[in-house]
Amino acid sequence: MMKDNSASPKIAKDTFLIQLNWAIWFISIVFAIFVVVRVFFNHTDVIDVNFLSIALPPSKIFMLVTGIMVCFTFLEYFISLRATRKQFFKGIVLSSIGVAIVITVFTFILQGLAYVLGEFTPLNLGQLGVFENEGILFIVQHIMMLIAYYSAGWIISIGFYRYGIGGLLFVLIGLAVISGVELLWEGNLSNTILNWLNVQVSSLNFFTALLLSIALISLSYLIVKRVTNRVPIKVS
Amino acid sequence: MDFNITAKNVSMKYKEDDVLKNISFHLEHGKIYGLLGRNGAGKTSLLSLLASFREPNSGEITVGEENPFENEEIMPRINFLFEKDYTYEYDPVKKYFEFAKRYRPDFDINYAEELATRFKLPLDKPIKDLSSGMQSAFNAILGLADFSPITILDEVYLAMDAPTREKFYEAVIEVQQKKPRTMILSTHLVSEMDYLFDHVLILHNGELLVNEPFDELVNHAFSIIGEAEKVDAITMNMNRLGSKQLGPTKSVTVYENLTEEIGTEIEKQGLEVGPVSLQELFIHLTEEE
Repeated sequence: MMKDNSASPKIAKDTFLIQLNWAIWFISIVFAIFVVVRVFFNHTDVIDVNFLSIALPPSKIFMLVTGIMVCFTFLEYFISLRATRKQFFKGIVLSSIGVAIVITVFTFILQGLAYVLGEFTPLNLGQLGVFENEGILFIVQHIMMLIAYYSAGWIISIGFYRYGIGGLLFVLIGLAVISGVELLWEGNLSNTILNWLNVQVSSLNFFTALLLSIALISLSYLIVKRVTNRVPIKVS
Repeated sequence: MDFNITAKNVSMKYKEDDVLKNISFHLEHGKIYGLLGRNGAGKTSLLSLLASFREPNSGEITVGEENPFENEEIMPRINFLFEKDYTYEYDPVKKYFEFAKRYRPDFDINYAEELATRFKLPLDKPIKDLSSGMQSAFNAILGLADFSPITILDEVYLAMDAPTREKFYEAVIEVQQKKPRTMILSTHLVSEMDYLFDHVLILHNGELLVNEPFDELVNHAFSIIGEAEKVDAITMNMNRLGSKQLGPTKSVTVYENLTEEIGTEIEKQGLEVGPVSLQELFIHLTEEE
């Protein structure tokens, strides 16, 4: 008899590969749109816009939507394969971190490609921008934001899966997580649906923002874990 | 670990409804159990509890004297299959089998492929493109080829055509000979499947009406046939399940032990005793006015 003590890494790997597939398609399409826009609509007001800044907002939405799909795509599937809820939770946390890292790295690789294309061809695909000065910091910020958006999506997903219409409350929690991480890194909520709120926080230093982000993401995953622990699985 | 299943005073609510009411039973390992019940009787709810898809609101379920819920040792050893929507399952059958093998310690992929050949299930076709009957066969194979100590099949055979169901019943007997396990088959197809059951559980409106070995159960009921007046007289104080009349001849089904005393009396009155099938018994017991 083989002991099933290794379901979490398997779930992490399998869901990572599935989401990676989605992510590669997604980023490639965003890149294609970026190139088309730069080549055909090269107005001066977007001259400094590079792929990094273009890709981040849709990547956040991608992570939010992927997080929302977690319960409806994977939960019943892996419980049917006889993983426990705890193993499922651990597996998805690991794969979400993996997907955030891969999207970020892939975005940077495409930014590099855009730069090379810009240098050696007549195409004007923008500057390296922030990457020139604070590349590593920007990578970490990018990863943190993507994980936070994913966790917010997952909170919404498990809220609706478990509580039906009561999941609306979880939308608020998800929104709070997103707003928190936006405030930590951007200092305002201009990138969220709460952009009408004129909230400003003074800019934090990198390590403070990083630690607070980790705390916020951990709290967010803790909420998911609590709700997932004894969730009834629907027999469709 | 013995993998015997015990339910003690289990109740479950779904929203405001009491779907299971104070149910208790003990299922010894290695037998085939038939779980019968009409639509909405609570069969799937009970099976969801056994498979740790849900928890009871009160009472307890144990497998090998341990709570199976979120138990990493027990959950992978209980296999639960139910009718699923495979509309978005793009993977071919073979790949899905390989995936099942990754997670299920007792899944025998060679046997799964052998069964697929027998059921004429194409291994390289995406599951979403299979007919509903073939999807049912696929689902059944996931259950049969997994030699977990406990297999629960919740009406996965309904969409199969009659010849495929026959192959399925043969395979049930075959896997039980290979390596006995506890198999719980919930069904409406009572007359077709009754010969498979070692033990029968009948649920009705969330209550457990019957929990008996198959042989004993069918011996608990019989019909008395003959002249209407005499039949009515002899069955007056018996637990009558139903009756049919054709002209002066009446047949009354009773839920009683056929004791020597009753047998002699029937003979004396010139009446006859007829057997009652599980299907008839099930219909009578769960009939509502």
